[in-house]
Amino acid sequence: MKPLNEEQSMLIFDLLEGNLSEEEKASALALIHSDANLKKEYELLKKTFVQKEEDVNFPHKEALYIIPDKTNRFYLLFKPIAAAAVFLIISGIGFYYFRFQTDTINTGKISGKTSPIKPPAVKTEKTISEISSNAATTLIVSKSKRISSPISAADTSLIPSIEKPGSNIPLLTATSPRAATLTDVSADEIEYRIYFYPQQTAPATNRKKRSLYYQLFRTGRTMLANLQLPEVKINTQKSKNRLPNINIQINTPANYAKYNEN
Amino acid sequence: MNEEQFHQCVTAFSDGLYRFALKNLKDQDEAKEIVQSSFEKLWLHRNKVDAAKSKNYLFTVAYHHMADYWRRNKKMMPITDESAMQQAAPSNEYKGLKELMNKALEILPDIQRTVLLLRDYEGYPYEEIGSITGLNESQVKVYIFRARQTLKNHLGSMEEII
Repeated sequence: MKPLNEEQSMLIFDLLEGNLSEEEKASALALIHSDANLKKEYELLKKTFVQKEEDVNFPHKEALYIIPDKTNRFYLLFKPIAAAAVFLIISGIGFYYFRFQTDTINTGKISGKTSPIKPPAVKTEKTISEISSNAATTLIVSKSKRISSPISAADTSLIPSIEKPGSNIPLLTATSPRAATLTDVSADEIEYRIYFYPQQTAPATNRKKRSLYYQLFRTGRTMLANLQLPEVKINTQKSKNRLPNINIQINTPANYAKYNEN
Repeated sequence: MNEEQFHQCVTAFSDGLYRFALKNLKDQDEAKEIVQSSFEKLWLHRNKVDAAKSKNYLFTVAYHHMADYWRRNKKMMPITDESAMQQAAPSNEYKGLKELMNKALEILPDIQRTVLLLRDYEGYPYEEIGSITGLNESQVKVYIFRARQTLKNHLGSMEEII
């Protein structure tokens, strides 16, 4: 059989593929029927069309109908539940860690209830006598001071001067915002609340807030250690606005006496 | 696409998809796996797939699975016509045109066989075959032309021998 040139091969191909118009098709068929060689090629190429094997069917068709139920259960229920559970767990840990965490700091010269450092006996007697003179006025006085960051070592002057227990300190009492009077009272126990507020010039990210918190925490602890207080319990707790709130409670000799009695 | 439309797709296209995969791979288990995976993927992406284009989507996914299979089995090596002829040498087992065609299809390079089956089995136009296989229209036409020429030459040589 004489081989066809590319043009003839393409003509037969286009004819069988249905790429020709009706007019071109009629013309091509006429040409093919007039040439035995072309006709033979045409008949042979017709056989290259793959016939569908209708008897071959997918054997597990029923299994495919089950897929939606499986995927429904998995994607519509399991995934959101799993995501919610993970979210709740992480939120719970975060809430517990940041909301309820309370640190008790021992600055070296400070002790808490669990391991109090007893003052020297002579000094104790002296202070007890001081207390007895003020026994009628057992009062807890609260003072607060706001300190803005950045805090450096030089900023320790910002901490309010802490009066000795038993001394007279000014107490602001108010029956209404416009009728405040300043009265000197004698306090046995003085409670100071010192708040540290970072100065934020830009919206702080959580990471930045944490960083500020620990910076303030460390600075505050150093400053309080430098106060040389006889016995101080310091509680640091994050306030509601997630800023550090350091609460200093000075245990006066009255407390020592109670401790000794117990 | 809702569940009912999905079920209609299963009814209408699962057999064709299976035949297409089986003819290409000659591996029943792999072909079944491909059909399962294609329909599973269709269901997972049912919100993104237009029901009218679900058939194209299924064949595209199946083609990608087959391409992965060929890569894994290193079957993407093109076979020259001469070597193919030698491989598909005539034997006494000739039982008819259908079997001869099956043997001849095996000698085609994977991509030529794929486009030819999409054309003959499913009657896809060149453009859609291109969208399934990632080829342009001209490439599809050339591949089909070459595949038919290879098959024609093979069938011609068989007839001469017989």
